[in-house]
Amino acid sequence: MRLRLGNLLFVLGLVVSYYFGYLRGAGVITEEQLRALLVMIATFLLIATEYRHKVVAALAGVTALWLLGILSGEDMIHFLDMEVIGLLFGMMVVVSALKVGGFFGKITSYLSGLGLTGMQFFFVMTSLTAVLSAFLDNITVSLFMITVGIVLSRAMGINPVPITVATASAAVVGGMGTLVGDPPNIMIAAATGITFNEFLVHMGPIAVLAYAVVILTILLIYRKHFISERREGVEIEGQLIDRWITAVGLISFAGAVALFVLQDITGISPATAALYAAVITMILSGDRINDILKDVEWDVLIFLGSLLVLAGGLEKTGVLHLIADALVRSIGPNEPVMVTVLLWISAVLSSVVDNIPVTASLIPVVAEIVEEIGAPHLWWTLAAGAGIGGIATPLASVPMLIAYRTLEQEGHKMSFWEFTKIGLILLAVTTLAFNVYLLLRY
Amino acid sequence: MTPEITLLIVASALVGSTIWPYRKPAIFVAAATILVVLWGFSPESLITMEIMESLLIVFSLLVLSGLLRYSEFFSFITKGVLSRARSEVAAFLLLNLVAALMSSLAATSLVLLYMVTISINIAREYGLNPKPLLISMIVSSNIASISTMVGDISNVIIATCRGFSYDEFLVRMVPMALPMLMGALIVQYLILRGELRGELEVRPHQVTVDRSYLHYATASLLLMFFLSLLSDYMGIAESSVMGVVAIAVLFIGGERMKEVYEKVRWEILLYIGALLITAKAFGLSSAPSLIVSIQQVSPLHIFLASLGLSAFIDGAETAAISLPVLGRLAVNEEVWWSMVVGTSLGSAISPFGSIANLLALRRARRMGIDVSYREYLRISVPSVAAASLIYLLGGVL
Repeated sequence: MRLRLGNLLFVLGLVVSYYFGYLRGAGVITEEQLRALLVMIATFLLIATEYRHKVVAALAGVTALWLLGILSGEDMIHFLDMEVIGLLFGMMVVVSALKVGGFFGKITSYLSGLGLTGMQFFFVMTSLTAVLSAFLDNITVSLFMITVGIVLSRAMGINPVPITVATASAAVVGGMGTLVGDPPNIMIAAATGITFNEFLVHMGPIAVLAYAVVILTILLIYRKHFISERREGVEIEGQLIDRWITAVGLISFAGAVALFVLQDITGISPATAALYAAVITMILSGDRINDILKDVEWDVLIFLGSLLVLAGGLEKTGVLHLIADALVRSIGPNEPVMVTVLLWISAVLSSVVDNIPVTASLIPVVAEIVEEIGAPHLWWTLAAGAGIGGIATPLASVPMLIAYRTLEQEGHKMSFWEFTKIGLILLAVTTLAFNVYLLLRY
Repeated sequence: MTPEITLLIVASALVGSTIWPYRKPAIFVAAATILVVLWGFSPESLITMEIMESLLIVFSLLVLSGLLRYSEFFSFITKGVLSRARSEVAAFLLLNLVAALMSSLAATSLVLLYMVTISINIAREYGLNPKPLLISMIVSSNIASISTMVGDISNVIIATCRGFSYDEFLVRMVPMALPMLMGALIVQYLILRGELRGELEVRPHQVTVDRSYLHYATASLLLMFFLSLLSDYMGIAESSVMGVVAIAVLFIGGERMKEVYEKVRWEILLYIGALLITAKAFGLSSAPSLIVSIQQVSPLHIFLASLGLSAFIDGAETAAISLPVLGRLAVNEEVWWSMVVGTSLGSAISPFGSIANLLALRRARRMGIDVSYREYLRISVPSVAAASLIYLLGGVL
């Protein structure tokens, strides 16, 4: 298997090198852009084939970018988005405290007492996640909901994989519906001056459509799991292990959520709010702090940091802009084709790298086109594409990364390809649905 | 936000981390967050290259120490050395020297815990009294840690902020560290000679290890050491060299590295990162000017001040918080070197001097060896006094 994989990688490497070598020869792509792109492809393949631990592969990619002179130390600091890392770390500490305190066991016990069937549980979890993600940051929502989902589904005898994938997907699509739900939306609003209500009117239906398509597709893919493994109406006994830690975790969690909601009034960023919550949790947790910190997923933080830096390599060299610009401009002023191409490009690019650099690269391209041909709905196209791209791979968005990692930790490991296969199906079906919707509506 | 409040927050963090040493990460994350929010600093202004370089070195050392631990390197070396000892005195000296060497190559904070665990087990196996051995190993490790840039986290912080290279550190500090260590060992011998009189049973060097794993770990240690030594010559920062080596070690090592990677105590990075951000925020505020009232600072002043402070506050914290204060005084290079020595020697004086000391003593307690403050100070104070005297005679004066 290793040999076959090695051969495949070697042939793929040759093809990619030849193709991009040709592009460089033709003056389409610069030496630096070619290198950045090859490093990204190689890293992606290393992660995808699980040839090495994903964090080690991502760190190796970052090292290659540095060795090749594409990114300096300062660049790396610049691309290391502390807002994202700080927010994730802060909420991880709080969720870890709730885990250590036994809160998830208790909540599982309560939910199981409601006597929900597997299917009802599935809909409650995913719809709640989608709605919460529209207004709260999807990192917090997915961390919390995925943990609850896994514990409860396992207790109910349901395979935790579908509920985990669906919860993470719901967190991604839920965020698309509002201006504050997803960073690309905020970036587009900042670039265009689109208001919250305008966003809700145009993107709300898209998010609802995405939710429906994603959930139906997941149900279709995992239909056998729900039928054959469910044990409905199971009541589970759950005791709080440590009441104090649970109380501290819940108060911190509520405080962080309150600060997220009141961000406009307080001016406190979500990362700072999450760090406040983490600090309070850590300070008040006494000797349990070591258990809490041990439970924090440090490798996810390092992995995410490495991915942000890797994406920064593409952003700095202008590869994303180059690809987007070349493809969008090659179409000509045909609006339906333009919508289709922009939607698929933004979705595909966002499925490989974080949607923030993709959106940043595409905003100037779209702004120019909108000015030239006057098609403002291209902004909704971009928001939809950049948003849904996050569903495709564990590298594409934090909720999917959390889902992938949590499944692995909880003993339900899916290989990168297994996970990505589901993600790609969801991406293809949902993007197709968006495409039809956008063409019909605008 | 007044400088007085900033000073109060930093002082509270330092006191808090001394009283509750196992909550250090939480305390410094809290201090950093409060300072950042109250002063309104942007992350870009706080996360500087120096901080990233320090963190990269700590990351590399975490990987290296993890690799050495899981490959049974420490156990192999310790037992190998001990198999040559014929008396308790020889065993005592050899174990101290091994601990000192290991600490200087891969940071006391990360190595001492493993070395102490192994040494206690070995001491019991050979019928030696583990308590004096444990204390003397802690003291010797702290003293020897001045010899390299990576010997102690405080060295890493000072070197990256002041731009001291690995070879510069080695050339300058090894000639100082060796006589200081010897002086301290002689004093320890004099204190403990009544307890170290027995003959040692000769035992063959038998340790069951995965040889290829052990060789890989040894090669990694040597590679990191020699490339760090050559980094100045190559024109690449030590942090970059060490970071690349650490990532290469993880990458080439394949599946076996999973153990190293997943069991490393990454929260140390959080603690150091938060500490350095706190220090940076402190430096950017006007609080250091409250402290800087003296105009003339000599290396002797700084040595004594850092020695005293580090006896009660972790050496890394002393170094990090002192940097912005001394930076405002535009002191000469000698002052920084005296601080390196002061913080490391100070760390040896009391159990509070370093998180490494506390972790090692806590591990010993769990293994049934309870060391009282009196027992610790009985060995540490004369040893550090001897080392300080040698330093002062040879250098500052």
